[in-house]
Amino acid sequence: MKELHELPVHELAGLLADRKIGAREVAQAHLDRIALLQQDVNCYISITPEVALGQADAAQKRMDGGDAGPLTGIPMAFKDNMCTKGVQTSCASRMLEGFVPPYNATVVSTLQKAGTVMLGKLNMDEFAMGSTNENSYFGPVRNPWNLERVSGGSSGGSAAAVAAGLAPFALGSDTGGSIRLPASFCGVVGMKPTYGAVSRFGLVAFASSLDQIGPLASNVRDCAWVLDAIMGHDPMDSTSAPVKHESCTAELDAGVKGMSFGLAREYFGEGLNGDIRKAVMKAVQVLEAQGAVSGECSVPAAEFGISAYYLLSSAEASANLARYDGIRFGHRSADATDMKELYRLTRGEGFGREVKTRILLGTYALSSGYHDALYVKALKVRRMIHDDFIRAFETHDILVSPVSPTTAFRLGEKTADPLQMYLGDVYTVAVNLAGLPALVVPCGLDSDGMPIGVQLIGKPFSEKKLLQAGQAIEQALGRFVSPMAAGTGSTANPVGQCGKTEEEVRA
Amino acid sequence: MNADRNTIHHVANLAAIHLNEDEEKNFSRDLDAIVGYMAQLMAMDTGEVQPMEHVLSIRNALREDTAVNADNREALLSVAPKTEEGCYLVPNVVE
Repeated sequence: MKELHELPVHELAGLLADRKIGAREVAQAHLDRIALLQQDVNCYISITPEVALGQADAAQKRMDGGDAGPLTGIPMAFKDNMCTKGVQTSCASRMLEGFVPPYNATVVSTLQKAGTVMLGKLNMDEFAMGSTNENSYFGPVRNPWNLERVSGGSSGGSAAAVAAGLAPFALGSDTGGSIRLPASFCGVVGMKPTYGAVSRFGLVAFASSLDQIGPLASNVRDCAWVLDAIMGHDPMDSTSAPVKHESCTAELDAGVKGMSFGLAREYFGEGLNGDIRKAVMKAVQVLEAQGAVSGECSVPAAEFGISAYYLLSSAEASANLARYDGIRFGHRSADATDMKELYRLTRGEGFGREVKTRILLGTYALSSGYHDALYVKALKVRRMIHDDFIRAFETHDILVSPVSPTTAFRLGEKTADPLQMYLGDVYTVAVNLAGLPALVVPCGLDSDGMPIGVQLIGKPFSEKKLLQAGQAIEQALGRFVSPMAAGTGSTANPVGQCGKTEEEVRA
Repeated sequence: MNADRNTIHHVANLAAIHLNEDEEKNFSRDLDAIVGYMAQLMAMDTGEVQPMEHVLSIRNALREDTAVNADNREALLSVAPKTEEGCYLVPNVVE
């Protein structure tokens, strides 16, 4: 008999519906496990047992009254940049430490209405700026597959919580890879939906033309369930797309027969780790074995993606983060005597190193003398990248690529050099610039036993098709379960132990 | 393009962020490398390509002008670090 934390959302839902378990029991099992393992993984910033048990009892009442949806009674957690009424939303920053929002983000109220149970708020890179979750004011997240390695970022807490069995699913946000990188590093499934597919109302803004909320879960089906719940138009977000979304769950097992997969040569060039190349090609073989075809293609402008992305996202961030002035919310310097000084000291004290780097870079790019040379140039490159993808989709349904040039590396290994850190986002940023959906599914382990993910990139609003392809890969390769989640929840998992596939765990 | 100490000092001033001397030195080193890398964009021929600020073709997203309850004053003020008599409190701005 599996323990409750080992069960995917869709199995928990079945047990809840059949009255084999109660919502409070499921919530308590996860809270107990969090109490045991949080100190090792550090994936939560706030743990909310009172909210969780209250919501679990309310969910049970709904189920008893025959008023339940698919996610009613399912525990989950939000990245700490989504506003939760009455619960601290810190963005992992000193600037917002102690900030308790007076309202809920749309995704929070949507999932509340669906009857989910909030376990807490998840750790992240400060203001979602980072690729390893080492930029958190509340300390780094550790990878459940090996506690000496990074979780990936910026939604590191979301990925690690799912990988460690400390939340059946989580929401993260993705501006340049922040759902996909940690999903890949932690061996879980993560989806960055099409720009505009999920409401951003109540998501603390980083780069508004790139930010998007999406799910992380242990398997493809659970991601489809969550997407069906959170996708949709929201009048409170003027950039949310007024389209009718197809069900992601209805034809999830339809297979990939006849689908065409493109391998952009820019994504398989120099610098890609050999184990990753092999694992991604294995996923391609799996798709071909099920009747799909694949062929080479090209996205030439993607080579300039890092430059364009870091200029544009930082420019937008420098404007968005101007609101942290020490007056309306968040940290306020105690030492200021006039307004100008209040701004300068508050922001100097409240923001961490990486956030300051991005604000300075963005301000530089927008400042007189550099605006056209840097900012406008990057906007032009953005259109070229977008057009390259649209051209590639004339001959292919989905593009297949690695997520990152490396698997999860050691904590502290790259923190000294921000540029080197940025270059690790080479395979993820172009997707955001073009506003496309992309799914990450685990597809193997490297020679150190660390997980490898494959990225599936689709046309706008093709989430359903991406999930069908992801499901085909997962069905063939099996799920990848971290030693921590496969165990009974003790902290005795040796650091560096090789992970196991689900089949090996069962055996 | 470069990001020397003077440039960093100027940009930090524009961004209203206080930096100490060590920070100015470190940010100068980091940003110099970053903008140096980004100079690759200069070499790129973007021809007549139009800048793309946003991927959606949304212009003005309008909705019916219907009155709804917004967040109340007390709730919004409750998250401010300093308030007085229903207002935000700021340092003296008029001499």
